[in-house]
Amino acid sequence: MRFIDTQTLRDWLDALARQVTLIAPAPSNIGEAPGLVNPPAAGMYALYQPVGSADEIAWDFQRTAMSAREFLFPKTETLFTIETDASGKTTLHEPKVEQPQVIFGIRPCDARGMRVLDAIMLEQEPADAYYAQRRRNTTLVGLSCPEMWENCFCTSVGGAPNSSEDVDILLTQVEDGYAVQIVTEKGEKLAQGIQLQEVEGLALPEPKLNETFEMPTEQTWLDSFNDVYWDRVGERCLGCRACVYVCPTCRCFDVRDEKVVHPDGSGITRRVRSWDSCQGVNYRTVAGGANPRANPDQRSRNRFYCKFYYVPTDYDVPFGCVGCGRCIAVCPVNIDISEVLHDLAQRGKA
Amino acid sequence: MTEENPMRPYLGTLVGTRKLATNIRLFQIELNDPAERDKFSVWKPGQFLFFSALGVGEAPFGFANIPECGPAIEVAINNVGHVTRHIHMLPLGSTVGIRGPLGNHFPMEEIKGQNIVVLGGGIGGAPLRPVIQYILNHRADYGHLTIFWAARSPDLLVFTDEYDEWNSAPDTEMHVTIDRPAEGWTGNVGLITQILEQVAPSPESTTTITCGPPIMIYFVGKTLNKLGFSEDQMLITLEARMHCGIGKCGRCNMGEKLVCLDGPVFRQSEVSTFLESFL
Repeated sequence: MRFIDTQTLRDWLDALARQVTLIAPAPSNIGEAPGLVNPPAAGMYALYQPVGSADEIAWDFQRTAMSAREFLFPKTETLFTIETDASGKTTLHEPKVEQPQVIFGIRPCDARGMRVLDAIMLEQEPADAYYAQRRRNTTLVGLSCPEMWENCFCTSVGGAPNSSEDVDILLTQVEDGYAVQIVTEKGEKLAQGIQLQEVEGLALPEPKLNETFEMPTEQTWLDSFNDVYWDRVGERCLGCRACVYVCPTCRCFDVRDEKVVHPDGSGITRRVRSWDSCQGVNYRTVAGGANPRANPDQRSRNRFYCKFYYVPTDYDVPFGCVGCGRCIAVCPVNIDISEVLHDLAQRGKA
Repeated sequence: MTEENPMRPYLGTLVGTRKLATNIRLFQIELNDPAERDKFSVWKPGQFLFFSALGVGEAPFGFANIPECGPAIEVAINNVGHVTRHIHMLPLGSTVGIRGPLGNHFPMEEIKGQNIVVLGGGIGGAPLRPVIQYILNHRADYGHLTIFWAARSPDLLVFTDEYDEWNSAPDTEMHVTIDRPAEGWTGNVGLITQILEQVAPSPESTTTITCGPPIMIYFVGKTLNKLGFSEDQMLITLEARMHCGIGKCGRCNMGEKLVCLDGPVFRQSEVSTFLESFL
């Protein structure tokens, strides 16, 4: 087993930050608003962010407040700009995203979320050109979770806190340093810059697991579509969409134009896309006002079916959910995805 | 970008526009780059495009003509929302954006030799005009063509100036109806389902193609069923709010199906098996 001691790793990251965009969990003041009755757990204060050195990394982070998906699929990005000169001539410019980036310390569940995004954005043709560029230039250095924290259920949806399946390199903390598993060619290439030691008989710690629960069967999903259960979920939902924004696999977006016109007639038009959510009331509303998913139960149902029936049916991934538990932690009315799965599995047996 | 970017529109010019009905206009666009024009001019009846009023936004519309009836790309647009309001205000010569062709199409090859019944309601007639044009251009390849064309009122009927041509085409009949009586209207009055039941086309080696508001598609399906048509014989084309047209934005899903990639053309028998449908 290969091994890197903590200081060598930090030195390597310091050097790496000078060559590429280094993204890593770093402390954030998110959640530090005074007067919160239930302040988030310490680890929730960290966010994946660009860092300039190893000192900036939140080394004891647990689950970050947001997933790392925004580094492949930004919250808002420019699709293109169209410049018009004073004579009315127009030119279209497309952005280039070529800066290589390394996401260090990504948790196995968040990396697994990128596998879901890959299936939708890359493998389903035609590929999304913006996602494709970023994905190609991104290397994932994962960090095993020492335990499953509150609300974590990755093992119930096929993942594991120490899974190396979806990262390029996986680090697992051991005494005085990290065990290093190089998983992909991309990882191999990145690791050429690191001084690794070969340590015989290095034992990897067993992560502390949460209980694994049984998933509803495909038949249960098929049978439960018109169940009154969804009215009960929908009644509670405020439509705040927080669950979707923190989700590592959600990919819905909205497209808008912005325009600036100068007095001489020249100007610039920018088309931007932003994250969106099927939980918003007017997500499906068409021009003229008709809304085919006008009821809260239809919208709540869509989120769960998308994750556990539509995505597995349409793409080569086991689920559209990786069990990170963020949507549970963030929901203001305690809608708990694991509870919904449990309820449904029970109904399937009844 | 080095790769094909399906979110990048081709730039085109608005070369013509005319009124079709109250609040509905036909827009003709020519792409600026000849290479892009050639690449684009392969669209088929039933496919759709995204039309950008640059600086305002883009929205999906069905093609209203076929390339053989070009060279301009034609779309019929109802002034009902933010983007369409601005499209209606565009002066001739404006630069516009076009993305596509997108989605699947009516199986014109597969239904060769069949009798065809076309049922269009309101602006839902627009995406069916390519079907009619295609059949009339390849008249010998298809059997009898029956066109049912409906609108709420006479001022909402689209392509009225082409009815004579369609009606007089060989082996073709056309039935136009409006929902309620109107001053000066001497034609049929009643819902499209009523006139469909009266005319009662035979289901024998016949395919139906329907586009209109969801409620119309639903009841036309019921009536066709009564007339002996199976759901396999019924083709419908659906619409949904969309932001990409390439299966990414997630917006247009009906259950596990995406209207943009799996449709917009479906067989009624397929839609009946969807977990979620809005008909």
